[in-house]
Amino acid sequence: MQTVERITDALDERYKIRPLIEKNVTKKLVPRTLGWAACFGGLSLLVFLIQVFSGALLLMYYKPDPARAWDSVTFIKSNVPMGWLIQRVHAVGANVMIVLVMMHMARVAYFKIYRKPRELHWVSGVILLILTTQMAFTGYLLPWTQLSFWGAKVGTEIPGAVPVVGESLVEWLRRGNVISGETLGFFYAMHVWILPGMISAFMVMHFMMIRRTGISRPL
Amino acid sequence: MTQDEPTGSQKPSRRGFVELCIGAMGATSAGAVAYPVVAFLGRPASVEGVTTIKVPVAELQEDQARYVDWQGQQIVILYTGRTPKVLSASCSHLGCLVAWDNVKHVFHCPCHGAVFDDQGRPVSGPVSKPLAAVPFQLSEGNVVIG
Repeated sequence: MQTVERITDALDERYKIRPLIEKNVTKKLVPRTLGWAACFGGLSLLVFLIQVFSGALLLMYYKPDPARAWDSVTFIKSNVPMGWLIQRVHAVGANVMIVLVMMHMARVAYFKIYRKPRELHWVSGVILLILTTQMAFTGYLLPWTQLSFWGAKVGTEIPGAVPVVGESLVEWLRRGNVISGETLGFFYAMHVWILPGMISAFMVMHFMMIRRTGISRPL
Repeated sequence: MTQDEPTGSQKPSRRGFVELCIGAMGATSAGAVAYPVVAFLGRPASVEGVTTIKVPVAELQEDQARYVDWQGQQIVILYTGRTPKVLSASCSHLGCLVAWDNVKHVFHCPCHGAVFDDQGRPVSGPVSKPLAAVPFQLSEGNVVIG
């Protein structure tokens, strides 16, 4: 404990971190009427971070190749120490994150928190919801199981209902006419780099806006 | 606890006890997360060195080299139509992996241009030693190494 104190002292002397910690953590005042339901946004962020770290671990063994994807996931589950746990955490975490995001939105909608001046909080939040579902959708194909394959097939058929451009949209999503190795590569790139990058950008915007307007205080 | 007891720094306080409990809970949670993560970074079960390798002679193609991992080193099984030959795939010069050229019938080292014949004997380049021969047995139509 004394070592922690001394490190904090040294950092405080140089960077004045004590007032920073007090203002943001230890002495931060939360509106008294704010209930537990106000935690869902923060919990969504927590689960997102769990997904990032468990995903980074899975990346060490996963191979985005139709011939080897399923084998590599099986290898993670049966040969890598604790691999079954990390893989399960990542798969279950996806569902948990969607549930938490939905609950966060339900609260914001019910208490009408989206009203002026917080309209753009809501808009960025809806974009984050869409990105989250796309993360789940692209990740679902990666283990290359029967469920993955047919899930991706049915899912990529949906934009086909769009008039005029529907069919080319489906082809663009699949990188061809059918779900193939090209689709897997595209979904993989989307899942591990492009979508997480977009989510991070919109999260930063979302949080900065909340900082500017302050949290909504219920009566 | 009596009222007249002085509140020295050694006396366990309620705050100190609560802090200890919170610290213990935090440490337990951190441990529960850290243990599987650190374990995951360990070596997977099947990457242990394989001690014995069995390759059916029928699977070997004439004039083709087959590279396999054996006890942490790369070895090459060469079948030139008579009997199989098993050699270390590491060049006897500085250890690069030699590549089989089935047109010129030689092993060629990509690093410094050493050339070995199909028996692993040096032909040209900066080498004087042959490719190390790996002992093997032929049993029931299999090449058994180790």
